Amino acid sequence: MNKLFLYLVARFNPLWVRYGVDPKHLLTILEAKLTMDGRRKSAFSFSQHNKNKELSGQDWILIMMMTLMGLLFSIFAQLLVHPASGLVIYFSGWIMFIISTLIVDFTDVLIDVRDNYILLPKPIKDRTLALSRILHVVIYLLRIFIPFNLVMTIIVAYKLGVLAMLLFIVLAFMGLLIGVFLVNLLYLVLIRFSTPQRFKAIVTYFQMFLYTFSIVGYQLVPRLIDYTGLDQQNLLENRYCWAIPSTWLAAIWEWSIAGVHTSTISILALAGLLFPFVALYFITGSLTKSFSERLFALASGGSESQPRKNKRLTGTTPKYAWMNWTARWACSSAAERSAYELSWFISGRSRDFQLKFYPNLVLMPVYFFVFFFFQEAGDFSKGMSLFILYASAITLTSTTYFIFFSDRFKAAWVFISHPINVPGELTMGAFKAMMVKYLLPAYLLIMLLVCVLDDFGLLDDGILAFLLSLSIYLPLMMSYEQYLTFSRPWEDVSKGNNTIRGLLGMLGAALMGLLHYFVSPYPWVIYLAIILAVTACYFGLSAYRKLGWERIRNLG
Amino acid sequence: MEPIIRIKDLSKYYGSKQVLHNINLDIQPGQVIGYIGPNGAGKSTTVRILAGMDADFKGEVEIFGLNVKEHALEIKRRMGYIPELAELYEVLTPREFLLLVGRLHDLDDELILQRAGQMLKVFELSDNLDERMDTFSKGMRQKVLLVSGLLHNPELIFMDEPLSGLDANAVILVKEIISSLAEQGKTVIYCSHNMDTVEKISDRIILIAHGQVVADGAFEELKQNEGDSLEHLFSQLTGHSNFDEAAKGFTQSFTQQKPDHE
Repeated sequence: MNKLFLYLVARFNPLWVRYGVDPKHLLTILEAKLTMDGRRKSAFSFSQHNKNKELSGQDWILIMMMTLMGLLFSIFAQLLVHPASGLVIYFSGWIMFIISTLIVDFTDVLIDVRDNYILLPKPIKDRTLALSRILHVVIYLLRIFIPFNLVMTIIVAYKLGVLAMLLFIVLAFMGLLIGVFLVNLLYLVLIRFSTPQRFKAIVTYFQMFLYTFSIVGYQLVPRLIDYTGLDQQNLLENRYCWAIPSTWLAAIWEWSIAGVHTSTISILALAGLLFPFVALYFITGSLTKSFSERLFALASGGSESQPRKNKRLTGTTPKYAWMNWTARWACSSAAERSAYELSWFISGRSRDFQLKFYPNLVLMPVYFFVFFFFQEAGDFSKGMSLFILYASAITLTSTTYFIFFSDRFKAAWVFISHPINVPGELTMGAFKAMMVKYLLPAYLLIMLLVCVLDDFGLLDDGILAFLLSLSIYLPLMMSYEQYLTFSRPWEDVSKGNNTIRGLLGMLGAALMGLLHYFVSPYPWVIYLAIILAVTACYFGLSAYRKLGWERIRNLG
Repeated sequence: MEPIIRIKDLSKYYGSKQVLHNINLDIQPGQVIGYIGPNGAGKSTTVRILAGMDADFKGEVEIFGLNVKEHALEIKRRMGYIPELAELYEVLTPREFLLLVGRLHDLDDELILQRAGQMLKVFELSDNLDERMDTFSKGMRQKVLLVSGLLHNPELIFMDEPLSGLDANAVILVKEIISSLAEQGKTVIYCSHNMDTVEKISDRIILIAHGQVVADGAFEELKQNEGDSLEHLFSQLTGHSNFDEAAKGFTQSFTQQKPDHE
């Protein structure tokens, strides 16, 4: 596939030369970048590609997912009576998909600071470097272009013929250029108006938002849209839509295929024709130059920004008073407290941890809102409340599993090199930190909302649901391979029968929930069950705390 | 003889902070220059400016008689740069990485592979030519980095801590390579914290502190007493001499009483 792309790029060599680009250098850089892409760890997966395989099984799954997404947008577009309105929706989805893919999966490539040390000292023209960056992104997106647009292309070809199909392909490609431009613009603005450290943080939060949205969005969005009359609307006549680039692309379609040549459609179509090319000119010109310059500041550790005075990010600042107070209360040994504080710090500061953990943490509350707020009035039952409580408790508890993984897993030598007698104290400290910092507050919030919206009598049920879920999860967690805190690479998350463990946990919670539902009319049974569950949790946590070195697997 | 590098009133700012203060230097060809200084003194910043990687500075810099801002490409063709950190595209193999670097210097593939093969053989990395560098040790990566900086036979070489991560044998080898490069008439700007190596291989030593040149000359000229070492000279000129007391203060921390608040 890479060879095909390089061959295609080489066909335009005379054009590149005329543009002031060295085609030999351009192809050399692209070849290396595409080879690296093939071996890069994707943000969509936990695993890394094989050396000699351009397309792994996981890639095929991704291709299928993109085709499915394209199919969904195609169907949606077909539901609208006015074809150009359907295209506005379709191209909006396509451009949004490009933007989110670039931000979630390609940011590290776009802001690869190694380029400054490897490529900048070499005799490469600025334009060559700029164009190589653009073509690299475009080639990356072309892999998405084909599966996403396949269904719609077939539909257009079937309904309107080959010429319309060709126009559609051109418009989709222009949409791709617009997406690339918008991401470049966004990054340039972020780099320009924030410090490099802030830039990294903003991109991380943006990635987390998009990642979370991709997980839960399909549940929320269809419920939030009011479809009434939408199928009859002509979005090209809607003034608010005139500001959206996808409307301009749809206007080109309306002008050339439907033959509507009103002044509004003509202006919108002209904007659509010009925008991608003007954007491309800006990207390869001034934008990329500024981008590289600012990127250099990023590469040199952001030394342009002044150090923040009087701001000590240590565990003794007021910011960590809550951590210190809870650590004193929750930890019974120095080792436990060390792991507690370390987990607290890393979970708040490590980008890779936040990217993996937060979406899973947010998942349950979003489901909760979906279940609650989109129920028809009167539909809500105690069974549903218990379902939400148990589902939340078990999924939240199971996210503690993330404390074993880190990109910096080799730093866990610190645990091995110190005289720690019982490693269970470390894992317990980390487990408690996650409980206190994230899981208990999240669960309390959910429980409170359930009580407010349903019945405050559910308070004891909520407590029991959490304790029972914890008592189910603890033996499950101990029944498998044990690791030290932050000592394994993220690739290992999907190893070790974790899926089976997750399913068993869900099954156990479902059974407990069912039993709970049947005994819920008898409060004394609930209180008795709480006492039993507290005892079970106590013994479970004690056993977990006593975990010896013989159960711990070596560092990753 | 025309200097190969001419620096006139070079200043550099990061925001409002000035990191280089009016540096003036002339460097003759065929010399090994030991460019030393404490952490944060401005060594790497100077090297990045000279290597054409940072055009945001005040003053004039000429290399090979060419202005570095106006003729960056011509200068880059004739110079090699080995960065401080082993910055590589680790997912590539040495063969792929060196082909990339060589082609960017317009070398033929045949020549690149011939030179790379020979150079890597000297570093005992011939058998690893087709292994991905993400499996390499720090020393192995550093060796590939050295080869990548020298592959195109540059006239001027910037080396920022080139011995980082290398074993004792490789260190000796690299020192010999630097001497051999100088014998061929090449100019080497060598940045390091290893004073012993700098003292041995440098024809001229430039010491920078707080963005200013505080000493410049051959080691024999710079030392004040016969028994002086560069290490001693370095600490004197950078204002750190009370190491005995500092060390005692360090070890005394074992015997100190617990602070009241604990």
